[in-house]
Amino acid sequence: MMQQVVSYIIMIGLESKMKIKRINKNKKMISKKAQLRIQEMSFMIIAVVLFFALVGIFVITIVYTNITERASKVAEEETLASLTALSDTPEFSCVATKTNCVDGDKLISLLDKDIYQTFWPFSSLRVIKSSGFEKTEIELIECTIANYPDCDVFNVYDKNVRDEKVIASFVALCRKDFEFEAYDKCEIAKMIAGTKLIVAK
Amino acid sequence: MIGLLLLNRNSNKMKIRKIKKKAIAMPFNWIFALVAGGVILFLSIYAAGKFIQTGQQTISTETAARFISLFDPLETGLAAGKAQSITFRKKSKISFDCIEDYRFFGRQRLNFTEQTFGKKYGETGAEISIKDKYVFTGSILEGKTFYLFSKPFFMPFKVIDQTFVLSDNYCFYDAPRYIEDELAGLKLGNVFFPNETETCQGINVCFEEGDLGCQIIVYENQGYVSNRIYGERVYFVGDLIYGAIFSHPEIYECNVKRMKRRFDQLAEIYLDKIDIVKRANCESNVGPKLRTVIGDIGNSRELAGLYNEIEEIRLINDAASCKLYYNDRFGE
Repeated sequence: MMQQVVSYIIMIGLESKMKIKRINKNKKMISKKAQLRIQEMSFMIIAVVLFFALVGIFVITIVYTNITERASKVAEEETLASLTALSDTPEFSCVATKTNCVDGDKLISLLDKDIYQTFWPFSSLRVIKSSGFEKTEIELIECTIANYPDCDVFNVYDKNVRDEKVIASFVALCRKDFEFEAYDKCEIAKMIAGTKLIVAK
Repeated sequence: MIGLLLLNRNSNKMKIRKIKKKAIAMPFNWIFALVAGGVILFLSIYAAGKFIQTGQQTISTETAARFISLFDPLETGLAAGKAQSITFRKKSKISFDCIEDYRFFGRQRLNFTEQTFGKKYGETGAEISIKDKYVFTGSILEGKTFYLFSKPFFMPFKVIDQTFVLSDNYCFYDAPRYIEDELAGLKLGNVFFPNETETCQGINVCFEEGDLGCQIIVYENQGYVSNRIYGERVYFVGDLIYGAIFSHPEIYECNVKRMKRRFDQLAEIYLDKIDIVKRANCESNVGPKLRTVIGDIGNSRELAGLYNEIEEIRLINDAASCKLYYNDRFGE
């Protein structure tokens, strides 16, 4: 009887150990499956993140292009508005009470004043006299104190920027001349101002 | 022995139960999905927030840039003054400051923001520099409607166009006739000239000390304005009186110094011009006097101190047969 009981208990013990082994085996399988799922999920997450990142980059590119375009447009508008008002500023305005008139005698002394480069919102500024309208860039005679008024172009300044758009406005260019008496001699001229365009890189 | 065997059996059962218990716990992939999902959601919300913030900044910056382009049509040319107003859809805030030492001519900066949800202001835009304008204004302006006007300043030739930006109402008491005529002529919607029996809501500007609760008192004969809001006194000459009244004292002083530097450069140009027009038999005697007034000033009081020299330059030019400039309204 005792032997039977002992053998029964041993059997139960063995059975339990086998169950444990089986469960451990199952656990290992579950663990492998879980690892596989985690891997799948990781790949999925990476794919989702990459997708959103690409969408984000695409959106940012479009928005940024729009911003640079708008910034360039605002800069151009500013140049145009400033240029039309420039001839009436004290540095350019004529002695006599005329609007849209540039005083050539003041303009010639502006040529060597570099500090105005940071004052006006233009990347370049020049005034071409009517004598220079039909001439090419090489043919134009640059104005200096020595050859003034027998010249074609007043190069006020040029910052030599790469992406530049120029806007021109016609003005009256007057200077003091002498024929029996001093008088104001006026001619037509073209005031040309450049705007640095903002280009997306 | 039996006891030991039973104990072993019990311990095995417990192990099985333990293992079974672990198996029914929340699967790891669920936890992983929750955490990863949470992180993605957080990043998405953060990115959306940043995107909105950047969008607001872009709009504010663009508005500020477009706002300063309103100053160009205000350039007076031959006019005695120009005015316009702008109304935004939402209440907006514009901040100004002034730096006199930037490069040579100094600069002013402004930034813009507007109310978004409720009364909260959105993201402030980037600072926009103004180098070729002289904006006489408060340091912070708030409101939906902003009033802009300009007046030229002569010393004795035209030096600058003063641009004014206002958002508050101003009540002028006992203003001289010429000021009333000039400001009323500009049809500004925020400057009033009430008599003492009329009520007026706004900043009280008085031309003689009284009990009207004046925030700004103009001592016209002494040539200064006492600003009780900031507890400061600024000096003026000619049409700078408007800048002294409507400006924050610091912005006024800074702009006066910037304006003097512009005057100095213009004086150099006129000195060069004297030599050039000599070729056309046009002699001007302004040169020596003009040279004496070139140089930096420390404050508006020093500028007011140059009044007599400027007046002398005006008289010399007026008497000359060949004038260096015509457009003088100095001291008017």
